[in-house]
Parts: sequence; structure tokens; C-alpha cells
Amino acid sequence: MTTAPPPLLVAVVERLLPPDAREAVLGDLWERYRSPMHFAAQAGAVLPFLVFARVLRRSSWSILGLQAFLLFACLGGFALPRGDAAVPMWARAALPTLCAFLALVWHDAYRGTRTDGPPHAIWGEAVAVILGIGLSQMLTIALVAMAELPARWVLPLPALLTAVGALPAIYVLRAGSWLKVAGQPSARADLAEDYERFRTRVRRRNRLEVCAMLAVMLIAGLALVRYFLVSGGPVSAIIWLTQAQFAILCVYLATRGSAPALPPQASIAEVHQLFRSQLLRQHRLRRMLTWWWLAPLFFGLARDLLTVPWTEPLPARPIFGIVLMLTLAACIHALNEERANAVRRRVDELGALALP
Amino acid sequence: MAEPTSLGNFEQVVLTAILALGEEAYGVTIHAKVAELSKPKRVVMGAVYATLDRLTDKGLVRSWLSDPRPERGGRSRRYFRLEPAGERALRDAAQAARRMIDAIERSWGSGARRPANSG
Repeated sequence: MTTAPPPLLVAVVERLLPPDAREAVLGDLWERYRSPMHFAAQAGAVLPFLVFARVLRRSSWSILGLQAFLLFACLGGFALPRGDAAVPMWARAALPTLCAFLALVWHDAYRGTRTDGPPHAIWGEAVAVILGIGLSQMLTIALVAMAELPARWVLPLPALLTAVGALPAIYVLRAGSWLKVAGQPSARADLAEDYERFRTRVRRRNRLEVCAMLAVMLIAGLALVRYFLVSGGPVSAIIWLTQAQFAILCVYLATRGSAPALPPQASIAEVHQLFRSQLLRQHRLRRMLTWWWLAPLFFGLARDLLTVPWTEPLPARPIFGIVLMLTLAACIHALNEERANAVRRRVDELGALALP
Repeated sequence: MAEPTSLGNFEQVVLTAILALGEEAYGVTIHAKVAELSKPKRVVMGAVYATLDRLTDKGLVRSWLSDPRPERGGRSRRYFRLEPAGERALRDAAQAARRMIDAIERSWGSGARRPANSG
């Protein structure tokens, strides 16, 4: 009698299990092996629990909500309806946004427990979003080809380009890990070393954010040249405004964004003081940057939802626009508060360590 | 003083299983023990894994991987043991359960079962 599951089945189950659970769970399934069917059934029963538990543990719903909001807006979900449009803009943007959202949730469940380095993490998030949007578009194109949907359901190229332009912001929203920097200082004597790690992480984070801003500026610049430079109008103004805003932020981050080095022979009290003040300063900076990263979204929403003529008996669209902008502001505030709580905990830990 | 950690029913059962198994607490044995403690309810393996993850996040249990074992296709076992916070939480839960049992016994009599249609 065979006491080992078929290698192909093991390989499939191994790929389906989240990486951090593979070793132990696959071993447990192997130990309980009775037949290929039993093995597959056990794996199928375990898998939803493992994935769902990881989604709950690792996903931040405020971040995912903001990412979905951003994507939906970039895909033209809030855009003004055109006179000849047979398909509502929101409906056309909804499916790709949902697919990208699910791909990001899936990505959360399957990323390892170790904090990925920036290139790896950017790659993972970008692939998840592109796959989500790509799959939804392939499905739409197939339905159009079968004459099940009108051709207008396929997203136009400018909307797809804008979504690509949103990728850096989507990543930066999630990369709030500058705080983990300091890790968990194990002893008073480690404080100086922890501060140095914090400085390195802040430096990396600033570099990453500057690169992300430059990428947005490049994509927005290309879109400006290709589509809006000649026609002008509010979109062109928003892109110019975004370019100027990100240019100023890049300069600020490059010149004032870092944390200062420790003075030589600094006492524990001095290290603590500097560490605490820099943690709070970096938190204020990131708080402000979260708002600035999403500022173009506010400009875009204002254009799409508030600048329509109030000719209808009930100004439903402008009211919807105001509610939406307030919701967006509330989401950003919630995210900042989530991070503020983490900073407060960190400052308390530092305070406890610095006590003689 | 630190706030006592509140435990769900299933978390209590899983912690009890880890405590009872001692050095031999890993996925397969924990599931078997939890199934035994939860009879007649059926317990799925996935729920045990999800709860073990949650308990680890709460700092109530600690886990580590053993050396690879041939009977598992060369894969390791993930062993679990209670952390001091887990022991405290389980003790608090056991005391609460004991108080509840005492109150029930005072009403229904020690070891007595309340008749299904009385009162």
C-alpha cells in the first residue's frame, strides 16, 4: 500500500498553501495521508481557513479601501458621463477595481511573514493590481467578442494609463512600515543601535517615496503631452498642479526628510530624547504626505463631481461628490490615526526603556 | 496591571489541548485532542490552524519547527507551547468556568442534571 501522496498532488497543494504555513501544514497532511482523495479533501478543507486567517491578520481595511478608491477614480469611475456613452462610467470601472482589490487581498494572504524589501514589495503589489485589471479586461473583451456586451465596456487606454500612474501611490499607501524600523529594542543598551536602524529605514523610505513621486511625475507628464497639452482644460491644470506639488515634496524629502545622526558619546537619555523627537517628526511628515499623495484625487473628484452645472431639480451629483470627498478624508484620517496609535505605543516603549 | 486577555470558547479548548499535550503539541496531535475535548461537535483542522495563528499573534503561545522527519515526507513539525500570558489567560478562563459550574451546581445540585422539561 502506498503511504505517500502522489508528487504532483503534493506540488499542487504546496503551491496553494500560503508560504509561511507550507512546511508544517503539508507535513501534517502527509502524516494523516490515507489516499489521494483524502489528501486532496483535507487540503481543500484546510486552505480556506489558512487564507482567510491571513487576510484578517495582514490586511488593513483602511489601506485597502483607499487603494480601491484610488483605482476606481483613476479608471474613470467618477468621470462625467459622455452624451453618447451607453455604458455608465462607474459600471465600467467597477469590475477591474473589484478584481484588483481581490488580487491585493490575495497578495496579502500569500506574502511571507518577513517584511519584503521595497523592490520585492513594489513588484508584488504592482503585479497583483495589473493581474487583477488585466484579467477583468480579458474577460470583458471575451464577452464583447461573443457579443454579450457592447464594446464600450472595455476600458480606454487613457484610463488604463492613469491606473498605471496610480501604482506608486498604491504602493506608498501600504508602505507605512517605516515605523517597524526600530524593531523591538530588547534592552536599554540597544537603543543607539535601534536608532541607527531607524535612520537607515527612514532614509530608504524617503528614497523610495522620491522615486515613486518621480514615477508619477513621469507618467503624468507623458499623459499631459499625449492627451491634454493641446486641449488644455481642467485635467491639464490638475496635472500641472500635481507635477508642481510632487516636485516640491521631492525637494523637501531629499533635503529635510532624513533623521540626524547621533552625536558622538551621546548618553542614553540623549539617545532617547532624539529617538522620540524623530519618531514624532517622521510621523508628522508621513501624516502630511498621505494627504498630499491623495491630493490629486481630491482635485479630480472636484472636477468630476462638483463642476457639473446644477441644472437638475435635485443637485444629486454635487451632493454625492461632497459626501464622497468627506468619506475619502475620513478614510485618510482613519489610516493616519491607525499609524498614530502605533507611534504612541512605540514612544511609550522607548520611554519605558529609557528609565534608569 | 495588564488587562486580562479574553479568550473565545474555541481558543480555550485549543490552549487546553496544548497544555495537556505538553512536549507533543503539534498540528495533528492538537487537532486530535481538540476533537476529543469538543465531542460531540466535529472540529475541522483548518479552524485549529487559524486559532493557533491567532493565539500566536496574541502572544499566548509560541511555536518552533522541529527537524525534518521522514514520516512527513521530510517536512518539519511545528510545535506549540503556552507562553506565561497564555497560562494566565487559561487559568483565568478555568476559574471563570469553575465559578459558573459552582453556581449551576448550587441551583441544580452537585452532579445532577436538570430535567429537560422542568421549570
